Amino acid sequence: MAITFEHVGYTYQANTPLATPALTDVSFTVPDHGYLAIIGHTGSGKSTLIQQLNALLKPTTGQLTVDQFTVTPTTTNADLKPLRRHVGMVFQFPESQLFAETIRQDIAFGPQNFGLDPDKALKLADEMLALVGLDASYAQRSPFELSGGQMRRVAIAGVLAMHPKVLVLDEPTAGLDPQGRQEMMSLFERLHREQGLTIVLVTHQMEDVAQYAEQVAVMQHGTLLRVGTPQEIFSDVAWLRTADLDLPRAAQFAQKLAQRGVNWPQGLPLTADDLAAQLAAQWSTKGVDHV
Amino acid sequence: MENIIEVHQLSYQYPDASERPALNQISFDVRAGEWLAIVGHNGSGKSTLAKAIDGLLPFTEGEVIVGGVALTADTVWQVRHQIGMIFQNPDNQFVGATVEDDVAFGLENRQVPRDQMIKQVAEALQRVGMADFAQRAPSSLSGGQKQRVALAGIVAVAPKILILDEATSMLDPQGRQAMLALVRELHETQHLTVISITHDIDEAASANRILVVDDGRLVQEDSPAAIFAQGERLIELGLDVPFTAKLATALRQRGITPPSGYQTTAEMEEWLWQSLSNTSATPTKPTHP
Amino acid sequence: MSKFLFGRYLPLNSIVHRLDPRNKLLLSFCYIILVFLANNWLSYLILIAFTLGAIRASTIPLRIFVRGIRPLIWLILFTVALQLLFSPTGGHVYFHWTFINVTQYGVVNAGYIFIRFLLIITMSTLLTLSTQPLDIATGLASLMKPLRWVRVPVDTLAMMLSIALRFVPTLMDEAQKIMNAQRARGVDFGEGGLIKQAKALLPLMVPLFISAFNRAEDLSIAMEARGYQDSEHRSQYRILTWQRRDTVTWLIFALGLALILICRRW
Repeated sequence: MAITFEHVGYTYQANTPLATPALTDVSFTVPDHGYLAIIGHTGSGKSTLIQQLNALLKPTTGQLTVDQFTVTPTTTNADLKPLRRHVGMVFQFPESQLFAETIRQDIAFGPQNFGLDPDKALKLADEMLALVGLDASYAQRSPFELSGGQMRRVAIAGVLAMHPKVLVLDEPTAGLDPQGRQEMMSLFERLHREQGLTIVLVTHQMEDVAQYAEQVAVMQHGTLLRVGTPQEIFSDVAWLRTADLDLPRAAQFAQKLAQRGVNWPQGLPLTADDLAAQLAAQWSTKGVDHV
Repeated sequence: MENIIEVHQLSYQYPDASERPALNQISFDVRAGEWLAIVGHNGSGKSTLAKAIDGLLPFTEGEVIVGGVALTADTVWQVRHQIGMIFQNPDNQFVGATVEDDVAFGLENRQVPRDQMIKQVAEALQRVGMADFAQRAPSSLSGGQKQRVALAGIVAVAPKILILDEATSMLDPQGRQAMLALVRELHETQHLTVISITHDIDEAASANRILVVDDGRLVQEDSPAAIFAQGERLIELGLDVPFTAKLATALRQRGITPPSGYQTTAEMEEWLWQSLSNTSATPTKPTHP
Repeated sequence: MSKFLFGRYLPLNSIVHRLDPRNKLLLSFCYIILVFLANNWLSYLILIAFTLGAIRASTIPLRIFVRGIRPLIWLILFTVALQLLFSPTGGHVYFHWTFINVTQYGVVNAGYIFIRFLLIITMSTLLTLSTQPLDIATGLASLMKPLRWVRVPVDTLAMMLSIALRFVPTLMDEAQKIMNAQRARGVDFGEGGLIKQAKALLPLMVPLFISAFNRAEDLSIAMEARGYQDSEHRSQYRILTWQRRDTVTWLIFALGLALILICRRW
């Protein structure tokens, strides 16, 4: 199991009059090389949850393990550095973390902090630049000359340069145009497929959940409401409505057809492709020529 | 219908950029009461265009006429008073220390007497559903709530034109829908002219007309249906591909040919339902009336 | 949040909270004069009584003031010690060694200074605990208005102060966010030697400054779009009103002043 949460609770400013619980009794597991999407409204505890993953926040109750690392309320900061390297964090609007004079130096910053010597780190930076789809001419430029989308790629390259095994993404496509969003999501998909990275994605985009995630966790008021496959989560339409969450477009559409009597024997389709495939199957079983 | 905005041969070059101009010979009109969407991928120049119309950038060539007033250094305030603008980042346009102070900001600038201000602020907040938050500090609001406050600030000064410069792009889906619903309502009830610069397909679909900007040029101008009919190519224009277009492509790959042109979800649903029922030997019975 | 300076406002609904901030600023200032007018034990006793009365009226628990003074206690003791050891000769000499002189005059003066410190800190704490930062800013701006006649841009200064206060929480959030991102990239804040700590600040300060500049640019465009030309030609939404209770506070102040003046002669 790549990630295991066991009854994790977290309270901000614990043991003070201002104590506010942000997570209560959260338990779930993500298998090795898994792809988990976390959904839920603003303030549901998603951000607090992902900050547990590399112990930027340590649980106030319970414990979690990420591969060989275990974090408990008493884990000391000295033990955390290997974990921080193991879990790469891409925060919302990660371009705001850029600071170095050149793009290369910025990407090399993380690996150097974890003890890689500067020459190797810079070489690694060049590789990462290519990985996120920027050519070598960018290496010596200032990160602040770039467009917003390019800056974000550089920031992500800076996280990937630490060779994490788990990649945590907090709304990585926010503020990008649709093309940028598509390219960004396929980059993560490629990393997941080709390098076996475990991915934890916080998102509001149900289309992305349907298309990429293998597992979905639904958060509300600091508790984990449900965890399951996208098919399991999105099939329970009535329950989703009570949780005030949207269906992916294709599922909404399929749902409307279902109300008119169309059956979905293979389960509610979640993507346009899935929907078309199921429609085509019904078309041909009825033995009619296509229009 | 009369034109409320006329743009002729507008060009602009950023002072620090040696390369191509940000705006290149753009001309178009906006009719009073119209909803116009301006789309284009990031960096295409669409936000620059919006700022130029409001006199926030000193354009180098061309002419902008707003409500019959030609935009010059002398008339810039006359032009700005006719336009309300909401920008992308909810935090960076919240001036007041509290919600009501922020809504009052535009009124203070117009030197509205205090008694009248109090009334207008309260009404505007009521209008956007933020009356209960009047005393709150911005740090205690969500992005969507902050944008609604920004909208209240505009409602309070009642301009003829509203420009949304990617105003919903940093909001979560709920915030975005709430904001769009409010703008639609204002557009209808106040005869407000809306110009929305956007990547959002729903926002673009609300428009009467769409302008496509690419590389600082106006490359296309058409109805949403005609623009959306371009299907998969829309992603190059900075828009998402509408769901029905994605579905149509997926169906064609499987040998099913839906009607050509852009279909709304309702049209697509109807066509699929008809085709399925007609081809079926025993028509399936609706489970819901 | 409670450890930050601007978070120190305690939202209660006492008469002290409801006083006009201009009045509170003026009272605090005149109170300091009063503290320096006092010159014997009796007059300090009167001041202490008035101060406790003001705290009582604010309904803020006394222990919060004690907590507020605690971080300053070393500064106070240091000043008191200086006064005690190096005061000029006068009265009975208790102790003498080279240049150190502990005299009766020194002991008494040290006692007075200690009390003065306590009184002034307590009263300014009361001011910030009972007044929102924004109201303090508005009050200050209003009091500075006469400076317009000597061409001080009072309204612009007030606008700047108000915007600065408005953006304190925003930039604090931003700083927290950037710190988290850099910690995830292996930076240890507040660990290691001085040089290492200073180096760790660079990846925090650079992005924070860039973000602040970007925000400032966005904000100035948004303000201009909303019709902001200059700070002078605007009407005011937030105004301050002088109530009867504000006048009453000055009667109380006058009583205090009279008592202290009598004590001085006595």
